[in-house]
Amino acid sequence: MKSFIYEFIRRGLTACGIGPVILGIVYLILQRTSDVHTLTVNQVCIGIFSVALLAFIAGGMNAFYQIERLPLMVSILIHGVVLYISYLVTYIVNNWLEWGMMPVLVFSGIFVIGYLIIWIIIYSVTTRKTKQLNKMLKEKQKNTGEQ
Amino acid sequence: MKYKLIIDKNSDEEIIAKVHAPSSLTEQIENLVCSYSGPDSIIGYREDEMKKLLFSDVECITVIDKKVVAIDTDGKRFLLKDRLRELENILPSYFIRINKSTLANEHRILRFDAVFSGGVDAVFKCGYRDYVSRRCFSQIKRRYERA
Repeated sequence: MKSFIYEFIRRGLTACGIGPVILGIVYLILQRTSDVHTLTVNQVCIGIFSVALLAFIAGGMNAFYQIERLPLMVSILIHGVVLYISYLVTYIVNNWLEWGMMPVLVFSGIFVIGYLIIWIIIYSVTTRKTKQLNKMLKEKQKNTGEQ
Repeated sequence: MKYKLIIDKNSDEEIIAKVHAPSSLTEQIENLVCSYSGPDSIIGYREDEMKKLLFSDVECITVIDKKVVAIDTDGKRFLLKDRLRELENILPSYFIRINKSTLANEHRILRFDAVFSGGVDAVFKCGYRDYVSRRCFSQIKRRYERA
């Protein structure tokens, strides 16, 4: 557990510096695609802090993949849930997403579909790799005269 | 303290320790000598039973409740006195690591199973199953590809 926390903080701190850079990109996108042309000091500060925190969490969460006992899907699920909450909160705090049933549902739908696609891909890849390994195992057992 | 090793193929094998008083060292030597059963087997303990387990009759050696346990072909569990790391050095090459707590007899692996959680399990002929970590999965695959 100690090593996980250490790894979480290490990865989080490495990633959180990228947060403000991403924020700059988000602001540029908002400027080009919507009516956001001026920002208050408050908006900029909330943006920097929240995105730095989001990047810290997103970076730190990769440490979950280091836990050997956790199957990949479980790691992805935990990772996904934490990221979903973090992104949702960040979007709402910064007013990038309207607070309401419909916008949150659309956001959630896109997130879930993305994760389902990843899930299906990983399951198919694991099944294929396992089949290959079983074939190699049988060949090895046959060659060594195993019953 | 002096150490003397006499190699004499004509004498019975014995280990004698001449000390002033019993100590943790003598205890360790005693445990080591008592648990040594030859180059192709280990001693397993089960309730009041003590059994010489041939390596070929061991399906896997794993850690259950912080204790090192050998599972034989009937699925019976025997407590071992050695540590997993120590055993890894004396076990034949057909014992492969499938996760950080389990060494598997590859001749006794029935198949590898992809599980819905995205992980992979090794299923043994006695019915016991244990997870294969992602790192070990790649190592096993490389091992079979080389063979």
